[in-house]
Amino acid sequence: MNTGFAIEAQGLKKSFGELQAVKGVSFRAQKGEILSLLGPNGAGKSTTISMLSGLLHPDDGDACIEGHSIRHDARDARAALGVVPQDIAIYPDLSARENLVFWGKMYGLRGAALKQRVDEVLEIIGLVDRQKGASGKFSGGMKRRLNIGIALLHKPQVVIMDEPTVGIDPQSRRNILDSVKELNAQGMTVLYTTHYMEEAQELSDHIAVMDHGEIIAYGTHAELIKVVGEQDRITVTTNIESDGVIEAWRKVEGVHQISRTDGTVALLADDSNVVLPHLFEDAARAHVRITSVDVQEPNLEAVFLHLTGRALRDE
Amino acid sequence: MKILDIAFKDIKHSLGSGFGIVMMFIVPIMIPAIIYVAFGGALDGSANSSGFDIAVTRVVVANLDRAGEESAGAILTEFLQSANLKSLLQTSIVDDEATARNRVSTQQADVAVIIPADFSQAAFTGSGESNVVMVHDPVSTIGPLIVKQLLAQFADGFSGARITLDVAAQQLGPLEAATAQAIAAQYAQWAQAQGQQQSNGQHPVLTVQAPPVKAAARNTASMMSSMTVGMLVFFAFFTAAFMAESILKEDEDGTLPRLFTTPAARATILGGKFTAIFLMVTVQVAVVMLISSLLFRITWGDPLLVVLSVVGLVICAAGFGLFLLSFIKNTRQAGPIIGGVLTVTSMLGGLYSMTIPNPPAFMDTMSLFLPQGWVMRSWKLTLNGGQLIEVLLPVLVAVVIGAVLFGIGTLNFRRRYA
Repeated sequence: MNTGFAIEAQGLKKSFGELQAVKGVSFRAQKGEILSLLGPNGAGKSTTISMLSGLLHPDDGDACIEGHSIRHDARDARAALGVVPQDIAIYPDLSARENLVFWGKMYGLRGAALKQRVDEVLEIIGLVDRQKGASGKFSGGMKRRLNIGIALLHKPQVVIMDEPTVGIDPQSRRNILDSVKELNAQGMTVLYTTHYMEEAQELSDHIAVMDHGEIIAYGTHAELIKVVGEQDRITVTTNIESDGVIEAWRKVEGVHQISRTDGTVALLADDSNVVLPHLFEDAARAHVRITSVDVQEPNLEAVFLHLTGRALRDE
Repeated sequence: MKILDIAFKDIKHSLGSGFGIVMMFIVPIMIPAIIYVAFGGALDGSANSSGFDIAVTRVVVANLDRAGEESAGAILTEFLQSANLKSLLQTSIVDDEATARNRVSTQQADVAVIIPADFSQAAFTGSGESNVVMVHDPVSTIGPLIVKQLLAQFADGFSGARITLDVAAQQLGPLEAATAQAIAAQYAQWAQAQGQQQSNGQHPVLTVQAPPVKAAARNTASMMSSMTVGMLVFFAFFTAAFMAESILKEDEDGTLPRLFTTPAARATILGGKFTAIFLMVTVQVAVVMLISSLLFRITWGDPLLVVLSVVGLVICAAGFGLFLLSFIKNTRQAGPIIGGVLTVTSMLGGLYSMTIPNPPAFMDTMSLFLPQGWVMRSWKLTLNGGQLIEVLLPVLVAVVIGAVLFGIGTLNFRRRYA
């Protein structure tokens, strides 16, 4: 396998009984980039990173972390990796410092090197002042920071973050996103899984869209947007359903696709600013009142919808 | 090194748990301590009156035998009022039978002793049927038994007097009434004096020599040691299971999966958890033994045999704990299963019946099939001054059982986290 990449996965497969959770996933992450695995819950993201981080053995396929095979050179692969689990995994009865010292030892750090690195990480995660307090009494945000800090102790080349912002307040979320960018700026490769398309959009150099255990799209944000043709998605709700109005809208120049579900009409159009006045005129002419209009410019949500026929957040 | 890091972290966690501390160190000492305090005198036997405290029995006597100061009734009344019996009986005198019975029925007295009018005649001459009547409160049990025993002792004395009179009459011919009464009274006083000497622990013809203090001390050691060892073994098994439960807890908390993402090998991580179990049980056993020795003055036995028994206990308990927990899916199941399994196996293993002198044979047979049974065998032998060769067998069996269970538990956990 080519080892010029920070992460290189080839045909990873994993089944749990009858359920095929990951169906031959392949992707690459360049050194120093942020790669996001975007997909709804159950898409296979966590199973994929569990295989990469050594928690699960793949049924088939292999992956290299900084050139170390997770099958044949697992210990070195794990040593090159820092993992931030989705749920906070710290020892609540230990202080922040004690947690870092313990986990540092697990990564092979000892003595003065360990102490120095613990001090550095406490600085990075902003817990110097609270280093001696029992971590179980920390706020959710502080626990999250400690959770991330543990993964940074051994200065890994690659950091895997499994949905680190699930269930936290906006401020903590903002802090985490900023820290991801900062780590990346220091040269770390970050594999970031999320089902929030805004996060993937904001952070990622490349995005792999996963669904039902497969990568269904891969590329930069701009490349993925092109999949849906850079069209605006307009959702219109009217007070009555009128076939006449829909026929009229279908003939408006710039409208490419129109569909109707449960009292709402969805249109794909080149430019919503040009099309919308025509839509209102046609509705007024047919004595139909438009009660709401929602315009979505091309984004990853639209890409996912386009590729799967489902919304990301519907899962 | 990582093994010890994990082990010490687990031990620190356990020692930080109030529940853990109580169950590992306090309860195993507290239970024997409570029993010691409750039955301490009875267990040590060292104090004459510090045994079971028996309530003084209130006796009311209606002496209808008016044959004079030397009458049998007067002698019996005097006997029941004697100073030697004051710690047992509080005797008062009434004039008639009805008053005596009324005292009992109104619970002013526990026992009424009614001495019939012809008691002296029957006692001294052997003529006629005359019985002392004892009436007692049906709720009272021990008090009436004591009085009954004393009356029987007294009656035996008069039986002896009658035999004496018969012999005297055969040898000397018919006796005058005054002579017969004097002989009988003389005999009765002698018999009464003998009874008092016996109650004081003296016997005119039989001398039992024993080192009473040492015997009492040995008795204490035996009872307290038995109880403490039972608790020690039970809670050592509990501690092992409690420590093994931390594997499930860490799995649920996500720290165990996270440990698996570090360069530390899985064998190292599980090895650290297992080491914590061994160390913790060892510390617990040592601490409980030390404190018990100081508090209850327990003599554990030959140090070598004690060490062997401790080794058997620690390995067996650790193996059993790991084995048990390896079949449990989560911590919600763990509490009831650990409690239930340990209670039943400990009961069948003879932990609770060690202080019973002659437990049923099936209990002994049943204990052969349980790890606790073999551990207890080694401790019993150690406490009772067994020989090395005798103690070695149960220790070896306990170690083998522990090792096999440990192996199965390890395999189960490794399979689970493969």
